[in-house]
Amino acid sequence: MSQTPEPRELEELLRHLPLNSPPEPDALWERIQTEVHAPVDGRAVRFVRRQVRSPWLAAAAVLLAIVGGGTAGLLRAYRAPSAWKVVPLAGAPAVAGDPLTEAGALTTGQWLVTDAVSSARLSVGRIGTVEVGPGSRVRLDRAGLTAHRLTVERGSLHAVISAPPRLFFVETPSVLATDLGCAYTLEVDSAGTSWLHVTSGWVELKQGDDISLVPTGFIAEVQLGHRPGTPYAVELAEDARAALHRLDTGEGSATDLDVVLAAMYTASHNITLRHRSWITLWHLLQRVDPDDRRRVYPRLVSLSAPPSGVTMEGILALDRRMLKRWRADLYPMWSEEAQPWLTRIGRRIWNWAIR
Amino acid sequence: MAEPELDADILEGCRRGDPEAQRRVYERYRDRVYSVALHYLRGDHAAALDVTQEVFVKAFRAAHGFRTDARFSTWLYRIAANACIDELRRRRRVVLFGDIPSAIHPAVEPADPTDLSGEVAVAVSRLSPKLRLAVLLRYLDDLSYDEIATALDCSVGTIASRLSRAHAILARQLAHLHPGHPPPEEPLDVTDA
Repeated sequence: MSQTPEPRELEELLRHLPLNSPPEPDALWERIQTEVHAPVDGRAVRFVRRQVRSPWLAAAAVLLAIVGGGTAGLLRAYRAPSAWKVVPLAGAPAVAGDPLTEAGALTTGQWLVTDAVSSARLSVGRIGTVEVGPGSRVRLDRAGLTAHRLTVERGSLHAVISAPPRLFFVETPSVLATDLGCAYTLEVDSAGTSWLHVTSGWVELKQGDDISLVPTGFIAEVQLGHRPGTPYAVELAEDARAALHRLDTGEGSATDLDVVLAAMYTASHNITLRHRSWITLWHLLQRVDPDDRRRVYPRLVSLSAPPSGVTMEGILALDRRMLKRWRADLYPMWSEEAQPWLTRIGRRIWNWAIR
Repeated sequence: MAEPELDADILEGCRRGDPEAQRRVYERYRDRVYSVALHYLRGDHAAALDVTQEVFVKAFRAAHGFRTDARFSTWLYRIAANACIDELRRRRRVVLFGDIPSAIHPAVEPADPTDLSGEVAVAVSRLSPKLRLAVLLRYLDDLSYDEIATALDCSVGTIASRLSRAHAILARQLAHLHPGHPPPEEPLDVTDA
């Protein structure tokens, strides 16, 4: 193929195109590494990219799904030893009313109670640990191969779980926290208000039909009788947190919304920061009245434009599919639409098995 | 002259997810990827930074599937080109909605009037996106026509045609840089389509 002749002078001029270095290349490198090695995002990419390309592969996958479903059914029927190992870390926590001075066991239905100076560590099967802080009252509801479940009446715990999503659940008076592969701190005060701080991965907070998805570096609060609060980044200013709280509980004003919007990152910030504010605004949009939604929507768009098929009208009308699609555009791991149908079937079988 | 390809050890390390190998790839290509994004996005530093981050994240995540019979640089530039095009599409949606982010600047403005690089950058930034990208890959990254065609997923003939059109436009726009030539008067090709 003969190439178009290029005038030598023009070529020389074009060689003057300046080569620029990114500002703060080490900081950029840190962000790249963080994102590349984030386990949540890694799963997201695989969900999106993996597609069945061969009928034989599809047949094998169907067979695998059937076998997997059967196995999951057996797992559901089987109950692992219904106890967790418990180790006192400070003071003398009590299990079923008896003070614990050395390692013991917490069986299903039993309460672990810590006073103002005691704390304990629980082993969540083989998938992680839970440290129960002072002043806590915690009950083990289920310890099995397919689900682990705790109830926290009051106090605090710090969970570190390394397992597939939806294996570890914590119920508080105000909300159900579902682990999606993560580490987090959960506090419950005497009024039943729950306070969640995620330090790794994601946690789902659910109350009735209302859900909040809380990622790394975010906090969410849930008051008794209210839906899960809007997650916000840990660096959010105190006045913006207070305004957000008022908006969440239906006591907010237009001024509160001004304060929250002013505290959000803008289009001039990098993609990581923009997505942090996007998460907050995506939740907030679903919690404010239609007039305020019209103010939140443009900020969402400026942080990350919606994918095709997602319209302003749909989002303002809180169309569930569009909301989900937009979220999945940023965080594909949440997107059922982004998953091959076999993956979806597999996940449903798994969810049925662990329920 | 195009740069020599990466060492096989670095490539293999990158495929295994070795952070040290990834760091060397990043240091080798970051300026070029960033520069292509910066010129393509008409001087929007924040967007160029986002694109650069996205390119390396995608490349490192997908490196295990990289075929060694292809050039790594071409593969990386293909990711970069797609990321630039996606960013421009996203931006169009934002602009259509009517909320133009403050970070979008109209062009790379020359800081020094005697600096040829500024003049050239402005002229290139005024090309249409398709022509602009071909020019950037050709002159900023020293890719051959074949490599540009691979990176942009089109035929060599298409690339030759785009570069030919770009050369004609740029020759007019930059003619005044030669002694005895007047400044350009013809309208610019600024269609973002």
